[in-house]
Amino acid sequence: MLFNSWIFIGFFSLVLVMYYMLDTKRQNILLLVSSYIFYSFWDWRFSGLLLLSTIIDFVCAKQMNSSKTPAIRKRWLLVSLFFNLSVLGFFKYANFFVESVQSGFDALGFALDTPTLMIILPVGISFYTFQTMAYTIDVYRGKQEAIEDPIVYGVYVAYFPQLVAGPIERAQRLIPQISRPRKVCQNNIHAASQLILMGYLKKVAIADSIAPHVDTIFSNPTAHSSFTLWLGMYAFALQIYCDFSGYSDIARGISRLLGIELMENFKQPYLSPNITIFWRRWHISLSTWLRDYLYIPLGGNQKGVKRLYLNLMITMLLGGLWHGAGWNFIIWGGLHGAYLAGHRMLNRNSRHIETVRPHDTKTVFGYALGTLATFHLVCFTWIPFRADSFRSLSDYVSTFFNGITTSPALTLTELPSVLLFYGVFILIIDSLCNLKNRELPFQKSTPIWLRTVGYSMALFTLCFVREAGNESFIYFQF
Amino acid sequence: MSRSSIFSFSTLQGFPKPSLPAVLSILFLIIASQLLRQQGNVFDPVPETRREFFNAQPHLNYDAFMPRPKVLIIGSSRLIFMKHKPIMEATNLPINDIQIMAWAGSSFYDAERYLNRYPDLLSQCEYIVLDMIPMKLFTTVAFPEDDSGVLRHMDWDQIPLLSTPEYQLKAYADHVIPFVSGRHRVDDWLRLNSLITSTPQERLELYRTGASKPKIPRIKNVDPEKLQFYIDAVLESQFPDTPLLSIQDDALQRIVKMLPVQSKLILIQPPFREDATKLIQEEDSYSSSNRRFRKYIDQFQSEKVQIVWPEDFGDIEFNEFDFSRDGAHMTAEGLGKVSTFIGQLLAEIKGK
Repeated sequence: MLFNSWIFIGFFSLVLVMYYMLDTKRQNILLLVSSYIFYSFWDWRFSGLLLLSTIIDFVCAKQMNSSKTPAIRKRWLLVSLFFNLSVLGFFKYANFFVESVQSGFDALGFALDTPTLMIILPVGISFYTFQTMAYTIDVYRGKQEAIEDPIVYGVYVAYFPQLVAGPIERAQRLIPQISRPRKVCQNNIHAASQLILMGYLKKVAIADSIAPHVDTIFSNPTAHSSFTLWLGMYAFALQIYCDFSGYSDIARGISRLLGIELMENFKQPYLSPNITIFWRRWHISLSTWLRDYLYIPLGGNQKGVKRLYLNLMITMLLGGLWHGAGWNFIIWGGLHGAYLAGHRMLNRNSRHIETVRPHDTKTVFGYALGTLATFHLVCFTWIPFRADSFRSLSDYVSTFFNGITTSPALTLTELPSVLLFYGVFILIIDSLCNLKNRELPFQKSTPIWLRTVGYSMALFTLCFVREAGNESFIYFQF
Repeated sequence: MSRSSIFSFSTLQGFPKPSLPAVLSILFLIIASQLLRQQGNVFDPVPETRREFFNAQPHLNYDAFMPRPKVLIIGSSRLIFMKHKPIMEATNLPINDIQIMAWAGSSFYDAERYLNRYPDLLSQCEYIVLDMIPMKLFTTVAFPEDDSGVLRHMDWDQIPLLSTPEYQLKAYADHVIPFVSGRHRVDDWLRLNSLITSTPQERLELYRTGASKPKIPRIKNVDPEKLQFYIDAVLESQFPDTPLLSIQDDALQRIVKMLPVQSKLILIQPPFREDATKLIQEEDSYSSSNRRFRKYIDQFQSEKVQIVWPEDFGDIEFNEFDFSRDGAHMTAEGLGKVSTFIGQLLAEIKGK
């Protein structure tokens, strides 16, 4: 059940009406049941896995809470981590591991006949597994009390607006909201509607319109000129941003209608003046998860400069691997690790690497230059991220750096205009938010005429400027 | 829990009221959609298929490029290679009096919509030859009801004939705000090349010059196993085991009703290759589909309507080169023979 499908709109409308008619306890039961129905639309068999994961982590956390000795607490934490990582490892990485071993032996000249399992990846597994692991780790660290009510915990794990593609919420944020009565006022509804509209606009109008062009270019890079490959890179950068942040906006909007505030997952990342800031604005729930549960436990920046670089690299490599079992994701993570380490190296003595936005005209030029450079560095990493295979990646890169020339062969005539139109559109929206440091382009204080023009443009684009297809969300596969 | 009204929920603090900008923007959307509807031709894509070509035609002036025929042949891909010459010879009619129109997947509904749009087309018409196969009457892949081409041309009073409330809702929505069918897509507008050369006539010309008649793959050199695959593939689509569609039934009845006094409707089913014919007769699903179809069609037999089944082709000998590899579509040679038959039939009817 995709957010961008009529069936979801019907499903959510029904849930919303029922939700408003119930008290908090029954609302939670409704959320739990509807979340499992929502998840079962993909494959009902994996609801069992979701339930099992919920039960095991619920029990482990309760046992940790009641245990008096650190050793027993640690044992229960290990049970939880072992289960979660095993599930993730089996469903997501087993085949990758087998195939990599086989390729390694093949390269050494040994023929190895290993079985490849037909494993279906349960949708959203990386998201809910990380969320439950964060919970048990926080309980172990004493940052979070174990939850007594299984319904509340069940909703925390399976809450349908963020179940399949995040944001990866923390218990400290979400649990209190699930436990207490919710209030939805007029302002919440207006802001939620704007978020939902923005989300659909990004996903349905922009990402889905660009997707066919990106698919054409990446499916056969050698058939295109290097100019088209550059456009393909920009197009994918825009597609993945609109696809994923669009999903997050819709998730946050529908959750806000339910009175539950989800964390902001994207804060105009392509307007970041450097790569460190980029990672504070892109997929924030994952980057903060990696920071709190991986980078800091590894020692963070507290164990010397060399160790800092190593920690950054390890964190980003594993961050890449989180996206999927493939060498392309490892390359992507490695590049980001190198960028972050490089940025730290260049700014060892500077205390101002965290400038978020320009404050006066003197800093504008440097900010713009940094933003442009960061954007391009990030764009380059999308090439391995999107490439289907090593062969495809090497073809793309070799043709890409072949000089910027136009060639008559397979030129996608409409791509430049489509890219320009949507690129400028997103740039305007993000710049508005970035300059005012807010999540939405329009607020109550914005003049009525401006809001009317903005909404009209958004609705018009959503209804008329779009492809007829119904694409799935990219991040569902992770 | 007692409540004074259904809106006094504990979570929702007051009934949601839309903001003024939201109301204004929805109003803008409705007005814009209606304006676009008036100027729909600007946003139509360049036609690439025969159905799209059909869709592009409402914007053209019929008088500008078509005469009013005396013989009008409307068919699906099965009649795509019909020839003028044998009909001209048999009936002594000039070429302009014989109009052959065929497009892949054409149904009774498509034919009715076309005739409905150009009532003048029938003003001098004496014979309307309409190709028929079960797929024209039942739900098929070639005729999905929610196809934009279907919704787009549907009259308000035809909408209830659609088989599901979902399709009906789509069709109604399309009448009010025409974006469901995807007909007014501004991304075509963004394709600068097509914007510049985007008059309907130019688009039609692009279609005409860019489209050559498809080559029908023949039977020779085809692996027997693959041959069976091709036959099954086409017969499954042409003899479907699906329900009769009200919209198609209604379309055929409308065609009969709109026949001018001087006109006669000839419903014709050209023959299939021998092996395909055998399958149609012996395979349960095909034969039951065909029986249902024949039973339905036979009720139209009247002074104004003549029905020609494959067995009525009588003495004409068809061989394997007259058919494509799927056994259902005919080659130019095969349709040449069908054209001769039709010419003789028309001459015979006229002689009576």
